[in-house]
Amino acid sequence: MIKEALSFFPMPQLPLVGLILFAAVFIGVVLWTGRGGAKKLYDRTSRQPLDGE
Amino acid sequence: MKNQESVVETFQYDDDIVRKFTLATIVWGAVAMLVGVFIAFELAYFRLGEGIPWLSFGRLRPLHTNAAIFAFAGNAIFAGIYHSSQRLLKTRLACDRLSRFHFWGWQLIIVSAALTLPFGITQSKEYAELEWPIDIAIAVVWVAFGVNLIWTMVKRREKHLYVALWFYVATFITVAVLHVVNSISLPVSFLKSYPVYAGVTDALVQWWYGHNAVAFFLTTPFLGLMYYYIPKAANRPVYSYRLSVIHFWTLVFIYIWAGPHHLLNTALPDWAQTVGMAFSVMLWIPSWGGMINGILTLRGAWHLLRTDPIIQFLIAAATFYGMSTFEGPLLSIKSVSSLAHYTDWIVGHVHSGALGWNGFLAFGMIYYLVPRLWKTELHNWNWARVHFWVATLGLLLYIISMWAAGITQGLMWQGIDAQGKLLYPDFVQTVVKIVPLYWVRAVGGTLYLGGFVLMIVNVWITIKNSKAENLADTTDRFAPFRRAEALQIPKLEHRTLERMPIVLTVLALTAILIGSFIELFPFITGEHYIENAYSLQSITTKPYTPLQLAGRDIYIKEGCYLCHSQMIRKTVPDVLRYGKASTMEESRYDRPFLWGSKRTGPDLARVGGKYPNLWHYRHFLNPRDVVPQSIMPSYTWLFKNSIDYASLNRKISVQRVLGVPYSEQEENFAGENAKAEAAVLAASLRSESGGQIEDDREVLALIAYLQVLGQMTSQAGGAK
Ligand code: HEC
Repeated sequence: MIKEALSFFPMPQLPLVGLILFAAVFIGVVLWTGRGGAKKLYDRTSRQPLDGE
Repeated sequence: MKNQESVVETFQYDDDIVRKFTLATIVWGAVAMLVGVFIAFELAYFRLGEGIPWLSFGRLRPLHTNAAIFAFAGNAIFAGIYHSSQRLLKTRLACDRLSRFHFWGWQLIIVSAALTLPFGITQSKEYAELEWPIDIAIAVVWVAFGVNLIWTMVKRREKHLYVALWFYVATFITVAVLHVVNSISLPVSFLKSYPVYAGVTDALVQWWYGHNAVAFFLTTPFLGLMYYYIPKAANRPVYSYRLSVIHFWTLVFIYIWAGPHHLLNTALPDWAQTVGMAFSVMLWIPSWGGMINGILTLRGAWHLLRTDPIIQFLIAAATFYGMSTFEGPLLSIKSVSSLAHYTDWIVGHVHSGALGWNGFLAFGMIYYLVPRLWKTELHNWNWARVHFWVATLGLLLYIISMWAAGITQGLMWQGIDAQGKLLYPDFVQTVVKIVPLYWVRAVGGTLYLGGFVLMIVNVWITIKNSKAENLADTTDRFAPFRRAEALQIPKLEHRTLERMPIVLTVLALTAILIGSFIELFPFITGEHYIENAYSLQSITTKPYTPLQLAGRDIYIKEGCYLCHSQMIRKTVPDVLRYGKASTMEESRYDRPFLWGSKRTGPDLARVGGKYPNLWHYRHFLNPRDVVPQSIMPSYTWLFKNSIDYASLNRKISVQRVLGVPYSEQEENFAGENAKAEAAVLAASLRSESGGQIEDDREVLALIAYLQVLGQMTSQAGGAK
């Protein structure tokens, strides 16, 4: 089957690698945004649209 | 403190460019919606525009989508990005000339779209229809926009980059990648080309592009705008800045994978379908995080929802964002897709996003911007309130009628009786049922357009009431972080800060390249694997004869693929109705692929041999002659226009370069061979009908093409 020829090629691990990478990005961002000092920075940055014109 | 004071700088924002883009948004929005309403009425009443080629549904539908996405939404994005970026970065746009080049270049591209699409000059890949010279222009203007944006960020006075800017950067870089990869094609002539990808690869690349056009042209830039204009209009910071950062990275990472959900149950290999489905379902999380973040920004100021039309539009937009991003993952589940795909449910889904999310956000932004840019009061706020309610009513009519139509179609197509036979074997039975809903949809669209017209009048009067001296650029004052802090922070950190925009661009690019690579790479590079498999199994696919190829190009030109799919899915009702499920090898040489995305009419993948030539002949002249209840438009001009024989040698030559196994002989005699084939077909039609049929009419090529559909592949020693 042609379908199988193609589905063999990409190696089933590849999408799995994608999922793991995503998990890593997600956990990374959650931790990074929760680091000490982020809160103060975020409070300040989030007011940026409001000051000035 | 004194030190700080002394470095405060005074500068001016470029308001003129924002005014230009705002006006362009309004003008093109009117065009997009007008064409949309017109084609909605065409589906309700097939007589509309009858006999006029450039008014036919297949020709105008690409104009409608391109105008809505690239002209209306596009100009709105540029207006909002240029307005908010200057204020967030506390600097004027990097280069006034570049901004003007961007503006006029973009409008020229839109005008060339309007001058080509109605005349059937199209590549037929949805939302990427424009021919190659325009594609090149798009790439150039888009890069000008990106350079202008990132350069402005580098020049900024504000130290940190607010999250809206991240969304803008991701938009720029991703759309650039999508556009270039999907548009690669070989020209046949100045206004005709064939894509380098064929069949299943073309399908995957196209929907990787198509879905992410929604993601990175209609979602990320609008999210950036949402994160700026909702806080601005409500005068309070975003609900959770941390959430917005998480929203950004997860969304950018996940979205790029979701394309294959447009190809569920098709001949696309299963692993790619599964990946597309899994990541689409995961999109629920960041999308809802973003919606909640936008809406809760209003905390403590809910009363504005009752009084302020800007807030009404912006919050309704976020709500529709939530609704369509709930519906999207739902529709990406394979079993739901088998019911909903190809139906009008998808059309409803798209419009809850385009009209509810993009449209409402643009309106909120326009009502915010116009009084500020022309430095005067809006002529009438009550009209804006009326606009909101009329548009909401129109939109609800639209969405609900398309839900009803889509679910009706889906269920009727699937209906099977106790003997395992189709309950509605005649496709037209399922068409007749939904025509009343097409009327409701058309009325809904008209209401939405009506609200828009009210906004045009309102803005028009507002502008007329403004004075010339109001058009001076806005002045602002700010202390640039470089000078204020250069003495206090270490050199290294300082340099990193300056480079932040570039770092951000690279990170966003990496995030989208991961998914793109894993999904596309096996296909783009794996061609020899497939070819090997074909030859191992002695599967052969005949290339189209020159006449069939000419017919195929007419099929593309007329936009038949916008009402007809050519992809029998691996589902029981599809196979019962249309025959054996379509296979990859059947579209092996198809450039572009024509799997389609909607079935207003039946699937045509195996229509070859189903009817005699004369049936098709009469059907094109007037579908009602053979199918009394048909709503398909008549194609009378196919009986007047001559086949373009002259270009066929060149077409076959380009196909050969792309690897289609034509011989040199076939290339050199393509025109002659096509003429001979057409003459035979015309003679047989003459004897069957007893009428006058000339030898070179377009309808002959189209019939030749239809009659070969489903007949191209064979397998030695087995059934095809
Ligand atoms: C506005 C939507 C629309 C467009 C555009 C359209 N069709 Fe159709 N087509 C239909 C509908 C609805 C039917 C079913 C009723 C009928 O058979 O006429 C149909 C039926 C057909 C059939 C009969 C299929 C069958 O199995 O019975 C063929 C063949 C066909 N169309 C070819 C074309 C071609 C070729 C074009 C482009 C030149 C085209 N159609 C454009 C809506 C459309």
